[in-house]
Amino acid sequence: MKGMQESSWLLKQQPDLDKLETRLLPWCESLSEEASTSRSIWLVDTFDWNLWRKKTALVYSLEAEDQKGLLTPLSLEGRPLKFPAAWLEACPAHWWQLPQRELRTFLEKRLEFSSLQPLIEISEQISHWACRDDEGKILVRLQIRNQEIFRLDAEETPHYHQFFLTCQPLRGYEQEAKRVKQSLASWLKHQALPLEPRKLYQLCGFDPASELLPKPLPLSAKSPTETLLRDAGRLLFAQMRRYEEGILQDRDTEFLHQYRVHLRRLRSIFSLLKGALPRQEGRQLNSYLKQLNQITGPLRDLDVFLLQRQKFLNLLPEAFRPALADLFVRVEQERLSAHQQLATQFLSSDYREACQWLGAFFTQPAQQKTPLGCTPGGQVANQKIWERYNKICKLARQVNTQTPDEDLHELRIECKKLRYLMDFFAGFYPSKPHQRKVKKLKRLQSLLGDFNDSSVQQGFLLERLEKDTTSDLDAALHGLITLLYQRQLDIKQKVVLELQEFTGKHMRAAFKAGYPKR
Amino acid sequence: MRTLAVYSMKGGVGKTATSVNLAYWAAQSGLKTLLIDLDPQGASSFYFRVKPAKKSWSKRFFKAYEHLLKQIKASDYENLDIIPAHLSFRHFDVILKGLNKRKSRLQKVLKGLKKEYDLVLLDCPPSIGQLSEAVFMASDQLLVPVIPTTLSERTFEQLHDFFKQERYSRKKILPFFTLVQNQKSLHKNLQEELRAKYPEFLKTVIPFSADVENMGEYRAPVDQFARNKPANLAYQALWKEVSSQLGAK
Repeated sequence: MKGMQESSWLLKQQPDLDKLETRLLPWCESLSEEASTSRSIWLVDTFDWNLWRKKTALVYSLEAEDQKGLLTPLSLEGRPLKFPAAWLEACPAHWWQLPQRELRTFLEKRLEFSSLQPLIEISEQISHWACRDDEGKILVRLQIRNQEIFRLDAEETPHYHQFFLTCQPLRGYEQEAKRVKQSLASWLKHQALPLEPRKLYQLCGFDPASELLPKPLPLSAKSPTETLLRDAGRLLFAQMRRYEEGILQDRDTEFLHQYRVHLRRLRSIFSLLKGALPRQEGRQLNSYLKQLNQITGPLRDLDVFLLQRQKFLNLLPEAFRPALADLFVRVEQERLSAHQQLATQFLSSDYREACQWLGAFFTQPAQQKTPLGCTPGGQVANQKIWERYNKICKLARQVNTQTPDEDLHELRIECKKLRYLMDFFAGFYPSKPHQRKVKKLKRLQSLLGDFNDSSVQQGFLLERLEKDTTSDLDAALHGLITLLYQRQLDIKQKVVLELQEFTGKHMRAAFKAGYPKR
Repeated sequence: MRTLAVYSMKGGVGKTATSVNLAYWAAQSGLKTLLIDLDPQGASSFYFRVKPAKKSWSKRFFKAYEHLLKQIKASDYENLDIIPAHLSFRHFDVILKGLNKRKSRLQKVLKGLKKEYDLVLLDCPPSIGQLSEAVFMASDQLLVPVIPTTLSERTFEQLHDFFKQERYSRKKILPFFTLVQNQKSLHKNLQEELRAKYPEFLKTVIPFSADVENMGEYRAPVDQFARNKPANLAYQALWKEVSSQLGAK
């Protein structure tokens, strides 16, 4: 309610109660301590700062002796968001562990498959005070908070101490609260909220921006293409390796997914601009990157299938679900062994060697032995983007609802290549028009991705049909494959329409103007 | 939002003690509760240590709910707010007489509070007139304290007859026995007789208790100073019984 908000001040030490009383007694008859409580608070986010990136934060607070804690979404400045908080027995790791609808949907959009982890713990002691009038009625409430703060990602970390004095106005006593607030404001200078995520991150030495890959990549259009490739390679490779620990600990499926996303970006830009490197070096690089792709592939395939569990089960009538559920249990077992294999590979000398070679390669200065390698990136970008777009336009002319799946697969690959180029060179172009085209491309890619996923899933299930032969499972798998095929046909129609827009007159003109021949 | 009135045309039956303790227990149960002290004596407000407004605002009371919002005061207890009485509330009958649609006026202004409150509790003055009829219209239930004495019985029956005569729904009336002294045979016998005649009498009985009288000294609900005493447990039980009746509606 307007005019009824709390005010808090940050203090360097425990406030002097005599001074506090002297300040407040002109405005009330008595100041007395009513109660004291304590609670633990955790500030949570994902490994890739999904919430921080959207300027939000999540706080789980548990009062001493309470069974359930409160999960509250906040802005980074500590203001509550419009979604109601949720009471939970433990801090959730995933959005699907939440009961409440609004907050659950809010988190689903931001977290997807990434898990939440507590980053900062705050242990808070609160003493509650009351300013009363001559009849003993409470006019204003005060809270003195003593916070002990520490980050949770290291065994030995410094603990920070903060004190806050909070003035809580009561309805109908706004004038009294105003007077108390004015009196405190003239004494305590630093007004601040007791839970301000941005400041807490700073205090504990977290710097999310420095952990994440900058967007766009910080590359100069004047640099030779080979230099650009090595610079981008260094950033992407470091980002990719950031996920290794999470993969080894199997914290969630997103670690491996992101590892492979960055690996794919690396492979693609070096393949799309392969002329910038001497042939022998290019081959060696490709061979190492391929090796990393191969060792991580099997686990990711199983993850993709397992992530569809609920969706697949929902597609089938009740009677067919138990057999399919059994299959998921078996695939989960396979996943465990696939994870073990990957962990062994990650800890092997082969993997260490590959990473050492790649790390050294990306940090080496450019050799500049090829004409493309010596050409400034700015001169290459337009041509490469335009050529790739043009190729998509040519392929698109042949596409209709009867087009074989392989052709759409080829189109999907071409779109991916265009996307990698546009992301790689993004820093060379004015952001808005470039991003508008990327957005259109993303929409097309999303449909092509769904089309491909559907096809891959059918393949996976067909393979299972050959392996697992119980009649119940046969029926379930046949049913599922039919449904997925039907869905694939529906997506195909949408792809045709989206493709017409992406390669149509307006978009073509925009690409021509945006990436002209030099 | 539900509206509950504590009403009796007889004085001294424990309306205010009931209003204060029930409002307290409703708030403790998690309901956002507003207690409106309609009695110009302002005893409910006194028990909660809330002072009345300096200026008279009784003429604005029935005009729009925004006027009510301005008078709301937080109590010292979570979820419980109060609109304190003002001496000028003694003119409510006259004020209402001068307004058209007077019977539904209170109901209309209270509607505006439903966004903020789950329960509005009306502590009514001991009379029967324009204000009482507005209260009968506005309330979902009318909680009527009855002392098991002959005079109280007579007053309760008068209320029953009035409802019948004016065609108010008698289902709204929720009577319960208060200030009960079971060692007195009159109290015992009258309870039995009335329960036989009016099965709607609530099961909970509020005993005669010095703790209730002490509310004036402590200026707080009984739970704050006599937690384990029979009167406090009885008010807690009364709230449970009333809330289940309110919820069933």
